[in-house]
Amino acid sequence: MDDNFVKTAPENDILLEMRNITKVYSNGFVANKGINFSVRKGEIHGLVGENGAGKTTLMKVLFGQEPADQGSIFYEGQEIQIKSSLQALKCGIGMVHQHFMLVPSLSVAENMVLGFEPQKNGSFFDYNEAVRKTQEISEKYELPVNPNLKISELSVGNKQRVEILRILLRNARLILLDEPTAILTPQETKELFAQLKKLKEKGNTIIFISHKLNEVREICDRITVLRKGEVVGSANISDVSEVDIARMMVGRDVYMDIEKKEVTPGKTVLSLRDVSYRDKNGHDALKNISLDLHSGEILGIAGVEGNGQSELCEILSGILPASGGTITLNGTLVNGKTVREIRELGASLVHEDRMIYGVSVNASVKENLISDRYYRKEFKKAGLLKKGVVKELAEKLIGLFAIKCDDENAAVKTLSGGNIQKVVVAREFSSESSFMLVSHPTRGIDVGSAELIRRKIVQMRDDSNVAVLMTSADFTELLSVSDKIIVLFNGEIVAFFPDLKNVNASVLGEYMLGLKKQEIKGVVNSEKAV
Amino acid sequence: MKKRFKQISVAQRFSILRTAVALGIALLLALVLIVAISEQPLEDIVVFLFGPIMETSYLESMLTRMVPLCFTGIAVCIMCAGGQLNLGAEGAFFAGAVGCTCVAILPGIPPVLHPILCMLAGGLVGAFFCGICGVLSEKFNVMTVVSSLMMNYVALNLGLYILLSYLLDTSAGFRASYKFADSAKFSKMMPGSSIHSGFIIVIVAILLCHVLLNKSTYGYAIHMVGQNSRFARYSGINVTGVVIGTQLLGGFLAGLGSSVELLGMYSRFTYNGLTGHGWDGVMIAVMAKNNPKNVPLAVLFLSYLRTSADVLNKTSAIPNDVIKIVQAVVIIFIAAQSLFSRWEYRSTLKNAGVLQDTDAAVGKADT
Amino acid sequence: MDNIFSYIFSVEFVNAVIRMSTPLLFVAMAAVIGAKADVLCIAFEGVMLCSALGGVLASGYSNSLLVGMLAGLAAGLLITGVFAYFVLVLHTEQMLVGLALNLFSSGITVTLLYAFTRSKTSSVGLPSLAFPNVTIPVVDGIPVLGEIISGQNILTYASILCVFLVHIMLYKTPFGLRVRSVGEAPHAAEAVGINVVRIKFSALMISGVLASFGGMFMSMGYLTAFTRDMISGRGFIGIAAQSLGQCRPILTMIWTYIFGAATAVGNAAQGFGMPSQLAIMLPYVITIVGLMLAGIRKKNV
Repeated sequence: MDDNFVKTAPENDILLEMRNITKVYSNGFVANKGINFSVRKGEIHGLVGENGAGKTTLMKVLFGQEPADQGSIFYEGQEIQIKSSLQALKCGIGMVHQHFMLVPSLSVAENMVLGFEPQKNGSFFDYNEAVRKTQEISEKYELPVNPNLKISELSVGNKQRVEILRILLRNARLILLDEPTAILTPQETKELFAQLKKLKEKGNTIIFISHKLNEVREICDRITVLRKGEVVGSANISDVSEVDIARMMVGRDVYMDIEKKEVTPGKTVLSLRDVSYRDKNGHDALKNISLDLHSGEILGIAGVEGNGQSELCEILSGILPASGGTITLNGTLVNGKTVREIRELGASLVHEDRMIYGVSVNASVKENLISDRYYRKEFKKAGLLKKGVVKELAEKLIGLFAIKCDDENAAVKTLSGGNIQKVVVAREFSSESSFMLVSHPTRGIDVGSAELIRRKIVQMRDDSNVAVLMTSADFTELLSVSDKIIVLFNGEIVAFFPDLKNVNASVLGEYMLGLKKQEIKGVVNSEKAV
Repeated sequence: MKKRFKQISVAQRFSILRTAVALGIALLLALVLIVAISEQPLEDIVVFLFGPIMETSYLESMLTRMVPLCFTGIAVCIMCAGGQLNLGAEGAFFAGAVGCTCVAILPGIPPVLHPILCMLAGGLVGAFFCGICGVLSEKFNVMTVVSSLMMNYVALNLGLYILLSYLLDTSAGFRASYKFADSAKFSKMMPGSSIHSGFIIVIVAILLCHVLLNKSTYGYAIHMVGQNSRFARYSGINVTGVVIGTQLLGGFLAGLGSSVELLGMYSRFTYNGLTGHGWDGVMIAVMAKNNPKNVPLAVLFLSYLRTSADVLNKTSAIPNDVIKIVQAVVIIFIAAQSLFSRWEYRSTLKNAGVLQDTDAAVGKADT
Repeated sequence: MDNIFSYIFSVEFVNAVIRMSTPLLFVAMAAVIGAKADVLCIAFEGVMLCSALGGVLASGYSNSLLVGMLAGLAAGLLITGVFAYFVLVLHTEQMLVGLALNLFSSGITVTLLYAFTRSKTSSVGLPSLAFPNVTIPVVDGIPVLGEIISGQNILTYASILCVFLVHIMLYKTPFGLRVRSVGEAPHAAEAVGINVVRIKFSALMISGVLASFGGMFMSMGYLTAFTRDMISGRGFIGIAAQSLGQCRPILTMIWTYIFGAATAVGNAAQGFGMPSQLAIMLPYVITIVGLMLAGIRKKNV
């Protein structure tokens, strides 16, 4: 254990203490092993660790969603048995999950009182009372919401706000936030942090689980680092740097910057001219997008979710048809082509939603690795799959991408999130393509895997001259991996930065929120370097 | 490595145990029913347990019964592997039989060619009825379960209509089609027995399907589409083609099955209603876990049961609907995965070497 | 064809439609509740079959309609309960359990029929009772409308009432709120302490009650005896109606009556010379066409 990490809390200040928590899942995976974790009253405590380190499991144990196999929990000095979320709530412990626990077709007020519905006239639901309660708590904590809107109509930031209000309505004093900023814009994150500070002033205690070390440093008072199911240590935030924390999380030095070669972009690989998309509701999701992408360059796309990136990616991969404009890949028109045809033209596709589009979780690792190429003649003999060739390829890729699994026959669902993404990336990056479409490549992934994937992206650019189009919500990633960045807002390109020297998160943020807009004329990124 | 081996055999151990218990409970239930209803329980139980092997004719009856069931079994396996819960094998079987009959009663077609044409006709008609469900699912987003159930009734009624309007032989003493031409019928493999050359066809069909689904590249595509069609599409696989293709193939096999059955065992079309082979096919596919190579064993089990029910029907007054009960229980228990999950969980914990023992900790199983 | 058109606009025809739609309506409402709770009970066929037999046997032996009704409910709820147990507690694939239970019901109803009546096809020999038709005073005096509105079977009125009861339950009560949340977002419901399994179980049992009434109407209203496999896919048509009605009670009711009408037209057409099989096919074909249209609309929305 590093000397910097020392327990510093005096005993009587402790609100929550989890002692010797052990949890083993039914497939034998040891999620938590002998964890000792404590939180002081009125602090914002960060819980940090790679995917699979055990943070979410620990919080699930605390919140009663998973029973611990061993260990005990002390709250306000008393030992408590938490067997359900309801019990946890009764003790005053509330959790805001990464994936919201809201019912989309019900209104805000209905979601707020779900489980504790006010009644009138016998067994009828008293909707007005629900609305009243919502407004009351909303005013008390200065978190405005419209109680009558359906959840499906709310923005992501507002949905999160409802989640927080809901547990406040249940008188939660200890609030757990699981990766709360994963889907927020910089502006929404700022608002959230302000809200958290306010909550702290009103006497609440907060546990903040995150991968984003810069945010952890900004908002937390203390942190605890988990690795492989065990506590590595706790410390005051002022005593440690991001590099220290990362090293503790991964167990080795992690380089935040990625070394890139100087590469001059070559010929135009991908051309978009006036590409637009109108969706089923008549909304123009993309308006006249014109840009070029050259071999050997990485173009990052920044933008708040819902401003056209997803549609752009789905059009480029052949899932959606463009409503207007043309797309050319390596000289051939892409419009109207099937996914397979686009891949055969030299494209690799990494979808933002890996669990749905990237893998089949019940299939084995090796089956997932050949899904884009199984029909090619090197894998086929008289219509039959050449199992030896498949196995060879699988073993090679597992080695190259350090995929942690029992072997190539392991079902993908037994892998951690980071390793699942590595399977996707191993498949897509090994197809000898000239164009890679990469969406949120490291979303929800541990630092170690993220580092490897980013390195590989740069490697493809350096060694194979691949043209890369990358969307991401992670500024560090965008700024360190990309050569150039465009910003999408409301379906249009509102900024193009051919040079990232003076670009940082706030600069990007302003364009992402539509506060600023560049004069974009003609085709973006169309000059070729000589 | 050693730990993984232990875990695999734990899972396997429980799978076998589960199957054995399912069969055990089902048989027990059947025995209880027999004792309750029968006037001669002991004789009936003996017949129930050993009927098919008590006489050669019963044995033959069991074997010939297996042929159409293998066809519908593999048909449903393929359709389900493609991700569609298509219950239309029932209708496809019936319609295929009608299709086959249309060609079988035609005179003047040379011997070897005639049965081939009949089987082709039956298969194509069957393919049509199941294929429609595939098209409806892909182009119109219609739930295959519902559309296939509806198609069963459409196939039945359309088939009956064609039978009664065009194929009916009014000179026969009962409701049946014209006689099949001799050139169409299958020859018997052994004189004096009812085992017909359809046996060879079904064995070939099972082998081909096994190779297709488990070893070919198309079979790989089918599996990927069945497991996660969005992932398959994003990887470039032609999902629509695979879905419609698997339904067509399944329907073809069901129609082929009824054609083989007719040409091998009958001289006229005599079905009055849906025959149940399609539903059995669903059950067989469940027992075989959608894998063609397990189908023969599952079919053997079912055929044994059915035959003993038939024998029972002959020798006592118990209706052979009793067998339906047994079958249903078997499916449910075999399919129930969590039956032993609690015990499995504890076993895994001990293997992981983490726990001494905690009763409170072994709570809900993680499924 | 003149005759058939005049028949369609006759009171007789409307009554026939209403009669034929009654069991469908019960099952459709049962399917709506199930779908809202995200448990598609494909076993309704079996539930209806068992309740049909249970009602007949019990009322025949006890000579009491009440006993018959309770027995029918018990039989139907038994099947529903087994379904619920295997799907919700043992996590078995719901399609498989449903199909197996339908098969089971088919077998056991004939077996028990035989055991009690020594007939493998019908319970006609048994003096079972039927639910009465109800004449509404005053209303039945109104020409044309009166003949339609009054004089229907009590279960028919009950089925229409159920549509509104189901709507109120789902949208105006806390229980309905919970049913919708466990069906749409079970994790969300669990997070606030709702016992997802218990709510789904309750929803299933309620739908089991409705389906049972549908079954009992078949053997104690529509006909007055139990015949083997008498449900003939009505359970599935009910599910199709729910699918088309997108789980909205009133829309589902409309689709149910469309199917009932198709069945009635089919029956009538037979009397006018249409081949019986094609006539029988009509409701099923209409279901498919309806699903296609709904599918097209969904794609364009």
